[in-house]
Amino acid sequence: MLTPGHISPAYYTSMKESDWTDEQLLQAIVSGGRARQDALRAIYADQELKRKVIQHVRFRQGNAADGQDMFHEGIIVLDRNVREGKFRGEAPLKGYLYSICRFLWMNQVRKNAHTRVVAEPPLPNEPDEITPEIALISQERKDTLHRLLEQLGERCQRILELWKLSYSMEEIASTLGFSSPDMARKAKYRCHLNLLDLVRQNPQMEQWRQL
Amino acid sequence: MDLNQYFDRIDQYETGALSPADSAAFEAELQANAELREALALYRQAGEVIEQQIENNLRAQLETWAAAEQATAPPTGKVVPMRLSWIRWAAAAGVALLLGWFGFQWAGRQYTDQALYAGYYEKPADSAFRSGPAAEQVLQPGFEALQKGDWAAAQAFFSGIAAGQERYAEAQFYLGHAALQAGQYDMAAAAFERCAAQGEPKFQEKAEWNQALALLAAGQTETQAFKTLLTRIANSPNHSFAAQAQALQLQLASFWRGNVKGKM
Repeated sequence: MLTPGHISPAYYTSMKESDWTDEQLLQAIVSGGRARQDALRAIYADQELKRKVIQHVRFRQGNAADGQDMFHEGIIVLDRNVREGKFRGEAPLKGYLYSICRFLWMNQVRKNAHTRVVAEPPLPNEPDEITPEIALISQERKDTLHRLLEQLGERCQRILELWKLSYSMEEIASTLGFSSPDMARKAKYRCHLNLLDLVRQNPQMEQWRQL
Repeated sequence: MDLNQYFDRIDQYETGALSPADSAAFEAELQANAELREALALYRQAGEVIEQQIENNLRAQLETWAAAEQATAPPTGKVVPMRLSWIRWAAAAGVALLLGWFGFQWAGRQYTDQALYAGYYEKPADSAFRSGPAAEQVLQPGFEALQKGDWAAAQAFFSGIAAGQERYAEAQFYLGHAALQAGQYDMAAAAFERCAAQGEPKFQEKAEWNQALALLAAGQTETQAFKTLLTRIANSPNHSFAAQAQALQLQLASFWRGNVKGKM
């Protein structure tokens, strides 16, 4: 099972991009902190996969910049799905990322065309094929989330981000300049409650809560 | 509803810190307690907001990596095979020479100090200027001047925050940006250096990188101060700007850079 803090972050930092196994990449993303950053960088550095994604997009009404965007968005979805345990290495990681990018582009093309939802013809079976679980968020919802982040303030954003990425209170204290882990813990508590209050007071969020 | 009352248990439940027995008890209570259900829904929505922040930062990080990759890619050109008569060959050769000359000049211009600086410099995002509580609004007049593009007013304000005063490091950081925008690169480099010297984690690495960029813009790439600083950033794997510093080092050592060196 993937759990945070399994391997020292320094171990990951010393690795070359080509040295990583799927298991190490997944473990590092779940561990959070610097290890996650190194793992995402190693995934990003896979030129062959990036080319494959760009080629897929270019053959389907997009250009190279769209392809690059999809590669970035795919990594963002991959990161979240791994952290949330929605992907635990059931298929090769790169195949999974490729599937995410294809799905995201298919969705983008549909949006651009303002057409009915039509399933993309299946591609030739690949051993790494997997159906990714992707939560598509509407622009309206994203705008609301952004507004709440702005109301929360930069320091609280950062504290809660680091906490969610499995940084320890010691790491949060040293990264953000708190005098002790205990002070960081108290700040996290205050920020988290503050955010809950902001969410509670936001009419749009309340409406979505009732759905 | 008093969120305090439920927060700790929800936090433990959602982060998997409860024992299986406590989890089961929590879930049983959820069935009976509408307030607890509401609090859990709020907690999950708050999680969505935090995820948005993580997503924003990861997207910015990916864009930084892409820019660094782009910066290290050599200028490319296409070779088009042609079958031409000798007149066409001569004309083509003339055009190619002309294009080559312009291409050479163009490629060279991409490697001047100013072009490299412009490629890497990022002014602070507007979101950095949004202050929260009253205690955080000490620097607000300076932020407003920066947002209006009134560099002189911003410099005057941030310079007025004396060493030892609260938020001095931050004031020096934004003084550096104001000076950079005004084209006063030496002043910017000095301000970023003072900011970095304060050792505040939030600003230190950004200030070091911006100091390097200010020295680059000031044409001081041959100075020991610039070389030492850039090498230190590039050789620190944990530095947030290590990748950019490495890319910049490669560009400074590029053939194209050599081509324009004399013209800068």
